[in-house]
Amino acid sequence: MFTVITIVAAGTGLLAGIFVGALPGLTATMAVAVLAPFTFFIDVTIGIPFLLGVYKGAIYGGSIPAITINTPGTAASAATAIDGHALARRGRIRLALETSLFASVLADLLSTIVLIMVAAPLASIAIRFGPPEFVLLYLFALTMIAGVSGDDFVKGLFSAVAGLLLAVIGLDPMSGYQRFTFGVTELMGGISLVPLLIGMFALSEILIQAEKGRRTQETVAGHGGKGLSWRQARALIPVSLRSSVVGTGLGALPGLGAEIACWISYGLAKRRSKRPQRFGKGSLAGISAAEAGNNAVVPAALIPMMVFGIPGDTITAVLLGAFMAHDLMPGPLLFERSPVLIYSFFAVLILTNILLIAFGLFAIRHMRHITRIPPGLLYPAVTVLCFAGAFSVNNSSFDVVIMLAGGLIGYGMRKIDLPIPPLVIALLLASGLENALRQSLMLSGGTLDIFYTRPIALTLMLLLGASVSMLIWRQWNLRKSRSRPTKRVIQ
Amino acid sequence: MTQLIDRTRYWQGFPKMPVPKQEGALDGRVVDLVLAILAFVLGGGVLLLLPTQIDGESIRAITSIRSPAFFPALGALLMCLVALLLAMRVIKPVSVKTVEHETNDDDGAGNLMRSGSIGILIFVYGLLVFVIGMIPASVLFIVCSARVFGYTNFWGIGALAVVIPTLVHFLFEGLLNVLLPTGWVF
Repeated sequence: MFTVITIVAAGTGLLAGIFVGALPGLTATMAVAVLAPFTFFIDVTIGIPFLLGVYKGAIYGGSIPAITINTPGTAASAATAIDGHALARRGRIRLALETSLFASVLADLLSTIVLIMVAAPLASIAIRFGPPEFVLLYLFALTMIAGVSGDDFVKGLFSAVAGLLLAVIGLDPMSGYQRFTFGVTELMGGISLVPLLIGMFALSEILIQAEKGRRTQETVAGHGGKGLSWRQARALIPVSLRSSVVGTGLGALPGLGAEIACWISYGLAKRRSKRPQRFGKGSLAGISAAEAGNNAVVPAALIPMMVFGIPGDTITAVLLGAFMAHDLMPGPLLFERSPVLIYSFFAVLILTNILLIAFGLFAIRHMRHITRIPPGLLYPAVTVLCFAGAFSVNNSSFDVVIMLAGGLIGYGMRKIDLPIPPLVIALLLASGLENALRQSLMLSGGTLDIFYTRPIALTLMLLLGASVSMLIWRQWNLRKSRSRPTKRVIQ
Repeated sequence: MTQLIDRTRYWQGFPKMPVPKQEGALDGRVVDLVLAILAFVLGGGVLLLLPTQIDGESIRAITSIRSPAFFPALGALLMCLVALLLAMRVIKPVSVKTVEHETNDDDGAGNLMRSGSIGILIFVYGLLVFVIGMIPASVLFIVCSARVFGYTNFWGIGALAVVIPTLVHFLFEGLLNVLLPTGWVF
């Protein structure tokens, strides 16, 4: 399973991910969505390691433009820009980039170890889950994603329910009756996921970037100064470890992706620091905390995806689609059916971590210049790749129509601050939720007591209740804070 | 233009997380109203279409677990509930006092024009792909869209218009054995 080609694929993916992540305006989700169709036609031992490499590389790569031009390559690197760019402006660009690389590698390694240690035992517990437990688990995931994807729970709920409604298009999983196909044969298999994701994340991003047009970037000139010394690296270990724990914990929960982990890790590091006044002025601890927080999310987000088949964020949603395209059904049985393959992927994650050191150092020396690629060259090329990728999934022109519709809907959703992740993840989970719900109600004869009379179901019910209460409380606080005067900064 | 609005503390005790806001975003109340109408139309539409789209089923399917209309009806009712929540917010809004600071919104109409032009180009490209073929359509699209994005270097555009379609053709048809759409040109 683990061959030289696998290593080459993972390395190529890592390099491609760093390249895409380093380009401002190209997000990690966009990278994985656009590149996923390429992997459908190659062996699973090449395709999935390639995508894992892209995911990991893109999250790290986002820190390069955050530090060099104060423009995060991905949303997950927003907190890195604060101290990273401040340090770069003081002529210590190499130190900032190497600190970011050191924290990323350390956090990634720790989180991968947690994934390897936790995933299989958790799967052996998850195998005891029946349909009612899965219903509650899906509802918990959807509630969390709807609640934390944006700053408005009701909008998140709208997006999630819209995803559930989109998912009913096609054939009923139990009876095989057609549902909302409007006589269109292509809709009988349901909405094609990958073209829709390409449209929602890549095409809509291109339209948003088109609005921005040409703009000047605040670049930092100079050679870069000295790099990170061993003494400095040792001093950063505690903060990196703490942020790795935060990132791993948040990554393993549905909905809480790298974008949130970086801010929480940064905030925690600042609160625990003996010199909090240095944060925002080029603190190495600030860079470490933000980067360790967001990179720890990558392996951890694979835990709910592999064990329960529940994607933690939009990138793992695309990865889930790629797993399914390769006939790998994520869920508790994945570890029983394909243990060698899964542990090969874990080995790839460790290996890409080692490769990240080499590629990261290469990127620090050479790739910071790619941030200067003009959007006029970048976005037309990405659009062509989007069309080729969407068409190639099923060799169908209808998939191109789905991608265009997804692009238009995604653009509209972004314009009114309607979160896209709940829609995408609900679309993915709907089929499982419907099956589990109908099976549960059949088992219980139509009553709801099956959801609280079984011990695991009761625990999950309490967890669901707690998360709903927390989200309502948060929404209440938000509405209270909104009623106060708000400072709006327009740049 | 990027608007960063420090609206809330994401978690109590942690630093304020700037929520990126898209330019030209509408007021919250208008958005809520639009979404409430959309949710009513979606939820109501699904319920109304049940008899024609799922073999004579109706809203009563919500009581029948075995019915193929059970889950769509449940989803539609949930959507109506969301519409109700949004409508309540429109009727009883929270007063938001916003203090506007400096702005350098120099070209709002131009920005929209640019994104509209790219949108039209993408749509036309989508049509041309199946009329003249993927490769020539891509060449035309790159030449036109690069200029809309503000890139004017003739040689740069020319090189990109040759390299990217050739690369895509080689990658898909040569390496992955996936046929790309062909038309009357190629």
